[in-house]
Order: sequence, then structure tokens, then C-alpha cells
Amino acid sequence: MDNDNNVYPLDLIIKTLGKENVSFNEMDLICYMQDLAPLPETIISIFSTKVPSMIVRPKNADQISAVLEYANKERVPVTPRGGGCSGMGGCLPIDGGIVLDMTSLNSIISIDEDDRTITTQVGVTFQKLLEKAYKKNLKIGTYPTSAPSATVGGYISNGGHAGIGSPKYGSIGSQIQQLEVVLPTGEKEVIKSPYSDIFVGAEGTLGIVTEVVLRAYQIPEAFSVLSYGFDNIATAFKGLEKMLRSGVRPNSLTFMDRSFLEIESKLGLNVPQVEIAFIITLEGKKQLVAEEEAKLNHVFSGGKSLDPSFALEEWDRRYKSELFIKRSGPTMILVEVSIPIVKLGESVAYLKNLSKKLDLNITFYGIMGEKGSMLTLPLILTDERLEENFFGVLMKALKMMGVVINMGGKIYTAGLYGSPFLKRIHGEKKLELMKNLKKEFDPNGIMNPGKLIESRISWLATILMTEG
Amino acid sequence: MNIEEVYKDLISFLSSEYVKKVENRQPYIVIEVPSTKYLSLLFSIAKKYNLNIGVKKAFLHANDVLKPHGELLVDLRQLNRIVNIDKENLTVTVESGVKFGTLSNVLNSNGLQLGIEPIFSEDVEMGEFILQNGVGHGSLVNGSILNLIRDLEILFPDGSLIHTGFEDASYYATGYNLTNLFVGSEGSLGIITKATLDVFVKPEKTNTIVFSSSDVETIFDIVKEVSKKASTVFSAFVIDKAFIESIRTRIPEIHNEEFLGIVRLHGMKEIVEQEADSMKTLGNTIPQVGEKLWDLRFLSILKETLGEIVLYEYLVPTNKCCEVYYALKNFSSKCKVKPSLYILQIDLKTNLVVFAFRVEDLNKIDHSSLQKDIASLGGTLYSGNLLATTNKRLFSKLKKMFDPSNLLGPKAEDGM
Repeated sequence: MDNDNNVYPLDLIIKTLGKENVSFNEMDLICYMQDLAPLPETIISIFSTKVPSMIVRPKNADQISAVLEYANKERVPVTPRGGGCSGMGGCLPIDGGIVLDMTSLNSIISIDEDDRTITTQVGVTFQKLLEKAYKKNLKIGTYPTSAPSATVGGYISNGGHAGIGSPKYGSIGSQIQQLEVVLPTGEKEVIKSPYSDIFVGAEGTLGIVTEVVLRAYQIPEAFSVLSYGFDNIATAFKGLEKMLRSGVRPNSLTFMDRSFLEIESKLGLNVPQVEIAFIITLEGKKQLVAEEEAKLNHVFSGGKSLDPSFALEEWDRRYKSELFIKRSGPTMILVEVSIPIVKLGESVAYLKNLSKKLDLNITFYGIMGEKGSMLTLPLILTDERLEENFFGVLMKALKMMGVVINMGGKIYTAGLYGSPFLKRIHGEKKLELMKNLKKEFDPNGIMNPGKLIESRISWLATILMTEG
Repeated sequence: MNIEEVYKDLISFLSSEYVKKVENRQPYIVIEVPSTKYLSLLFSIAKKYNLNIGVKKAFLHANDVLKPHGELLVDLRQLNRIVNIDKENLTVTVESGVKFGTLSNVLNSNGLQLGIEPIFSEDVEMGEFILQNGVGHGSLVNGSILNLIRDLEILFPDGSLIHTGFEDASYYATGYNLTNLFVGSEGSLGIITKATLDVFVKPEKTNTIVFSSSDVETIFDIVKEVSKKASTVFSAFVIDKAFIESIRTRIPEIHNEEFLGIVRLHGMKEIVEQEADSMKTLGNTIPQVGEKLWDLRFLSILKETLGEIVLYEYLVPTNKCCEVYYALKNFSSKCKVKPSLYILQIDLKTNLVVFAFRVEDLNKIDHSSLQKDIASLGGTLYSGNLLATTNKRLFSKLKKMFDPSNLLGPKAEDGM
């Protein structure tokens, strides 16, 4: 540490992290300007997007403290990045500066079978964490369908409200007992629940989550995968409403519409001929699972049970479904919106009509979240190499988000592209409060600038939310 | 501070029936506000005289005795409307002063039930329970009240009112989670005026099994075993002789038992029945009294035998519960008081241990020695102690932002 001004100079950062963990290589820098979705040229010019000046790959919280202390002093923007699995631009370094690649912060510190807790650094992927937990007869309550590449920190920072396990175990936030966080000033803090929740879903704009203590669960005695098919989407979603009131709490529930199944069929998979299919997993005591199965058969009597082999194959593909579909794009734009199940039928029907009007190649996929919500993913397939107006396609996707918000839905992750809608979702007063909170934590505004509550294109929301 | 002057100011906008002076001790004035708009006026008076405002609780808790907060105490009992029961989305919206007992009855008559009920449900109000991130019956399944909250309406000291969540059925949207900042804030960041909570469809089947034993170790072992193994346990708790005495007249089947362990099962019919049967082999059970005892499960009943009570509530590691019991027994005989003991399992590792004393015995109790004894066994205060375990730097940032004039108790420095 520099004794004169108590701040790390750049060369000391390199020394602290090790040369191999700091990159100024041009190819490296450009690679970090993209997440799951590509960044169109128009966006680059709208935001005057800059190439980051360096990529750092810290291994512990102290190294992050050093980076943030330096960045805060020098007013250098810092953009954290986990697995880069979102398509909302949340990890794009639009103001340049430092990209904090968190994937080297990947030590699993302890898995305590008696306490049923897992303490881990947040750069570890869920798949690795799940594998380690299983060896100790434990499981994680909720994890994303992108588990092979999604990091624990990325999921926490994006809210973690929908995924495998969320209908039964709740959001990842409800399973967090404690977080270690590095604040923008470089101070390291340990924060317990419920206050730790301020960093859950904050998309790295308030500080960097470095370590988490998560509640773990015993491997259930029984596990079952079921699937139901329906020829009518409205009937299917009415069945879901009934399920909510039946007391059945599935471990996971995903839906896929006919166009999704057709793509799978073209790719050589054996799929049923239905308008919509549900894949449901149940877990718990043997008898509970059996009774829940019986209840679901009753609740979904408006549809039909599908071939068990289809259910099992879809479950096996659970980490790959979206990426599988991406092959027929090959570019995929995700519109991630959370819709209450009671409004799902109406919203999906409207979106389907709208996508026809907008001439979008779209397919629908959904993952049930907690408290009767459905993370609905209209997946827009396109090819950025052939598309003359790729920016136009992206705007149409955002238009669909605007429509969902008008209908009472919410955006799941804001990142860069969803940020214009925050005012409409939360209202002026609440957004102001969030901005004050941001200022209190990050007075120099270095943390993930231009994301979440800090939209640079808020004017866009007005256009996108206008009918027609 | 001139209390008379403050009092005069208060009754200039509120009828004197709502404003009560307390002689010679903090809080000096208790104000029952008839509606939210009076809270804003109260803030302006607190600011004028540089006074601190606390929120009144249904019971006197140990920490209120040890470290009272607020020169002014606001009583929210008049804000007691059940605003909406949404059967479609399974939520209920209530004002802050609604008592759990009242709410529970209304929900039950609509085929619904609460996910967590305080152990003093008949008296405790929604707002105060949220402020301490309450746990209770149902916590074994649903954790703390935090997990059931969808939205809070908060009034800030500057008079502004916000919803931390959404007023429609939506639960989550991208943005900062403001709700959880206020849960467990003990009222120091803003006053909760309304809350929307998840509710549940009443289970297909319930059953209450009552175990009895003459020694505390056996009863804890049974309760621990049951909570670990059965999947339909909604609540599991232990009561001692003092509590048993207060309910004996209503349940003649109960005689001279030293300890009772009560386990409430709920869920699908066949599973509840099967688990209830297998449980009965674990110890001595008293048949036919389960439902009656479940109806009498709240601490409020102690008031009938003990009069006004003060509660010492601790979160205690499950494996230390027996030692805590013996520590209390020694302490009681030393101080010549006769507390009632109530121990509720809130998760597999933690119990909420409650000693209820008569208010008139307060002066016999050596608070600090009791605290020390329990702390040495790993127990921590449950109520009024959340801020002590909160990260200081974080709390100070939040306090500065939401309550810059430090009008709401606990004050910034109390939380540090």
C-alpha cells in the first residue's frame, strides 16, 4: 500500500494480483465487450462505448479491495463480470475502465453437513458447487438453468428469483445467511441477512460480493420428473393457477411452446405435438412426491401426461435448452420478464400477436419463480451477420418488454437494455430513493456505470412503451 | 426538554384521549395515532423539540427495559384495517396495527391461514412483528416473517410515503431490495404503515401430538427428533409447569406434568396421519388434548394467571436449550421469581426461548447477570437486538439516508 496517499497505484495492483491476472491485451479487452447477446454497432455509438483499459482476475477479497481503492481514488469505472450468461448487457463495460472478471474467485471454502451451510467464494459456477455439495449429501436450494457457466455471484447480483428450486425453496436471497462484500471505497464488510439483501439483485452497482454463506438442503428421499401437454395455452395456464392453490410446491417447472418444441424437433429430438408442454420436477419424502403427483394429475386434467422419456430428456437438457435453441438463430435475444401466473395467459397471448405484427422469429420458454411468478423468456432468433437492421430487432425486443410492463409484468434483470424501464416499474419516488442509496454507497459512481437505476437512454422507455 | 410544552403541542392537533403522559420514565409521552397523516405531524413536533420516536410493542421486552428507545412512543393500534384479502394471488394487505389474532381468524374464515404466527399472536401487531423480523409458529416451515413479505408501505421522517414493493400481484422486479432494509430495522429507518404478506390455503389435514415428560432432556430430545424427521411439522414447542398451570383448568386431562412437548403437523391427509402414528412411539403422549392445547398456544394466556408480563426472549442453539433451562432455574431461585418457560423450535439449529416474568417482579431481576448467563451458553437477545448484530458501517449509511435528523429510535449510535 502506498504510504503517502493510502491508495494503490496501478503498478502495485499488478504486483498484488500478479502479472498473469491483469490483462491489457487488445483481443482480451474486446472479448469482454459482449455477453450472451452481441453488442450492435448502433448501441456502441449510442453509448459512446469505450474499450476497457484492463481486465483483472482477482483471487480474493483483498485483491478486490486493492483494485477498488485504486479505482475510487482515480475515478476509474469498474464493471464486474461473472459467467456473462445474461443477455441484458449488465456486464458490458460501456465506460471502459476496469473489468473485474470474478471467475478466478472460485474456492469453495467449506460445506458443513451438520449446519447445512455452504461457504464459498462467488466466482465458482453452480455446477461445480452442486457437484461438491452432492458428495456431502447436500444440495443447493435454488440455482439457474445456466448452472455450468453461471457463477454464484452473477446469480446473486442478478436477483436469483427464478431457477431450478425457486418454487420450492424461494429465491437465492432467502437462502443467503451472510455476504462478504467489498464496498467501492475498498472496505471489506461482512453483512448478515436481511441487510445483505441490498446487494442481491444490485447488479454490482453498490459493491462487489466476494463470499457467501448459503443454506444447503439434504438430498431428498424421492425425486420425480413429470410432463404435461396441452392443445390450448389458456387451459394450460389456468391449470397452473389451480396448482398454486393446491398446495403443491414443485421443485421446478418450465414451459415451452409449440415453436420451441418444433425447433427441438428440427434438431432431431423426439417431442410431442402440443401447443405447450410443462416439465415439472417434484422432490421430498416418497409419500409426499407420490401425493403431489396425484394432485398434479388432477390439476392438469385439461391436458395429458406426456411420454416419460420426453420429460426425462428435457430434464437432462435443462442446462442446455436455451442454448440448444440458439443454434437455429444463431443469434438469440432474450426478453426476460417476470409475469404473475394469474396474468400469464393474457400476457403470452398478447405477446404472440405482437411478435407477428413485429415480424419476429420468436419462441416462448418459461421458468417458474417464487411466489407465483413465471420468468417468461420470449427468445428472439435472428442472425446478426445477415440482419440488415440488427439494432431494429433489438428495439423490437425492448418494445415487447415495454408491453409486458404495461400489462403488469416486470423486468427480471435490467442490465443495460432494461434500465430505461426502471422509472416506469418503480415510480419516480422509489427510483429516487434507489439513486440516493447508490450515491451513499458509491459517491464517485465507479461501480458498473450506466446499469440498473442509472439509465443513459431513459428517453427510450417513452417510445417503447407507446402502443402501436 | 419541557414535557408539558411538547404535550401541549401534541394535543393541539390530537385529542387528549390519544396522548398519554408517562410519569418520570422514558418514554415520556405515548401517542396513539388515529391515522397515517397524524404520524407526519408527530414527526414535525419531534423535530422541533429534537425528540426521538419509538414504536410501541404489545409486550414489554427485556431490551425495552434494559435500553428504552424514544422519548415519544407511537402506538399504531388504530391503524387496524385489513385492507384486502386477495384469494387469487394468496396475499393479504393490512395496516400496521392489525393484531395477528384478529387477522388469523379472518383468514381462517376465508379458508386461508398465516405462514407464521407470533407466540403472542392475540396481542402482537403486524408492524412490530415485522420490525423485529419475527419468528413464531410456522417458522420451521417458512423461516422468519421476512420470507412472507411482498410489500411494505413506509412513512419516512420527512413525511414521504413509499411502497418498497408493488401494490399489484407482482413480487419481484429488478432494482434494489428496499423491503428487507426495513424488516428487522426496529423502526429506526421509517415507520411501517401497511404490509402485504403471503397467505396459504388451509392444509388438508392438521394434527397436534402432545408429549409429556418429567425431565427436560427427554422432552427436548423428542421435539428435536420429530422436527428433524417428520416432513409435515408446522410447529414444535415445549412448555413448563408454570405455563401448564395457566391452562390446566381448561384442559382437565392434563395433570401434574412437568413438561409438555407439543408438535403441530399439517399437510396432506395421508402423510399427516402416517407421521402422527409413527411419532407416538417416540415418548409418552397424552391423547385427545392436542387440538385444545393448540388453541391455547399463545403466551397471552399467561396474563390470566400472572397479570402483566415482561418477556425475556433469546435465540438459543438447540443443543444448549437444556443448559439454558437449568441456568434459568438457578437464576429464578436466586432472585425468588417464578417465570414461565416457553421454547419454540424455529429451525433445526435454533430455538426461541422465552421466559415470562410478572411485571411486578421486574425489580427483583438482575438483568445483567441473566444476560451474562444466557450469553455464556450462546444465547442472544431476540427482540430489540437486531441492530447490534447489523454491520455498523452499513447501518450508519442507511440511517443517514432515511432518517438524517435521527428522529426514529433506536438512534444511529444505539445500533453501533
